[in-house]
Amino acid sequence: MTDIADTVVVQQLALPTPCNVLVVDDDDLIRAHLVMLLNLAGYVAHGANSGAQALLMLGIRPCQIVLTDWEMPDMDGPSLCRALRLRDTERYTYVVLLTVRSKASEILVGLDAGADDYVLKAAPSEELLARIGVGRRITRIEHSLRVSSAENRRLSITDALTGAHNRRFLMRYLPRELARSRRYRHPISILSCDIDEFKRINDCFGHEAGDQVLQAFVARSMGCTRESIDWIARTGGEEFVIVLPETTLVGASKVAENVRLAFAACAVPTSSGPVGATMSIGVSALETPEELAGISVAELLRAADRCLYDSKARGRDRATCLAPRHAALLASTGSIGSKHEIN
Amino acid sequence: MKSTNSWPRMSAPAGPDDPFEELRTAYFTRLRSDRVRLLGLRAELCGADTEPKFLYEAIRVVAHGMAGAAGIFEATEVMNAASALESAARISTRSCADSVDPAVRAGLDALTDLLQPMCG
Repeated sequence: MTDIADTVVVQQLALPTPCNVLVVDDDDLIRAHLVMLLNLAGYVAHGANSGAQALLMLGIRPCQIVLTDWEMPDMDGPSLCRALRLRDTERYTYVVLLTVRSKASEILVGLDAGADDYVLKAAPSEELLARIGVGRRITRIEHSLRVSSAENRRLSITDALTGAHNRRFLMRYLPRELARSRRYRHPISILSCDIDEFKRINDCFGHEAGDQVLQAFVARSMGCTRESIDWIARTGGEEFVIVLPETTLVGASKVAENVRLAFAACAVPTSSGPVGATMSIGVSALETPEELAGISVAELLRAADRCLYDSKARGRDRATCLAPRHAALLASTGSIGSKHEIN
Repeated sequence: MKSTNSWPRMSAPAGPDDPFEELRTAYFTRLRSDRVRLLGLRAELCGADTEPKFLYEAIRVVAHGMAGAAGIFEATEVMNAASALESAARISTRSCADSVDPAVRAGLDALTDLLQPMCG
């Protein structure tokens, strides 16, 4: 899932990393001199003696900055720039061309190839380091933007209180889950969950305790589901949807029962003392190719909700499961005769 | 740009803590061999055995390398002389000149003369 990948990206990018510079020059002395100069200036510099070797090294260890000679056998600096820009890398690589060429037309060729800057070989060390410093500054800005962008993306699909996904995530990814189930003709189930008499909990124990009950529900439910496969979204105040890909109605009913029992098993420790709570669950699933092809996400959610209402109507603290084609009967007739009552 | 008075700087003994001393020494050593290489190319150019157009590219490559390294090691006079030779050799290479280009010969002379003091 994208959100999980984003979290990994955030964790990786948040690590303090040194600024790596790759010096590409076929001249051993120039390369050694520049590597030493950059290392003394606080960078972590390495050398490559050709464009091909540079690409190989960058594939193994990405660098923030590449300082490359223009004229080299086989692959020149502009060609290396073009090759770098074609790569799909996680981080931007700032490229500085090192050249004895000072004609504007030649410099334009280098910049057009994808270089960010150029520096003449005759330039003093101070200028070279200043230009590399610009590259470090820009790559750091790009790095922080990437971190905040990934974090914002994560927050936009996460419920801040419980850490579960939010409605936006549900409405974006449930259709994808359903599409995948249709494509591979695999079953998919959802649980529509609602904490019983949650208003009473808030009224009696306070909102802080209510929040802690919500958090406990998510934590305990996650213990009953498969990591990285099933997922939970908070869709309202005390309402949640648990999505169970690759799960039949029978399997989902077992999960629902496990979730219900895990939540009711022991009181939730809160700042206002232990709070006992139960929940009602509605379970629905798409199993057959006809169901997968003919029933929409909205219909699947509605079917689970009907089962949930039925659980509420029959006294709460229970789970009711029905295939969508049968769940419609609940709404039209109020009948519960065709349902499968788990408890 | 650093001072063009590069020879005294290059010839002066480096300080004991200069981390670049070893590289600079290696650069001097290579300058000597570059000069020998250029003298050889000049002799070939002025001889009758090899057509000049086959030598210009070799001269250009040597001059280009010298110009770049001189820039990095702040030997500005060498860089300027090598760049001039590289330009002349490039023009001659493109024009496929079949006689000795005076500009190339002059560039060779200027550069090898410049390097002579350090080569003894």
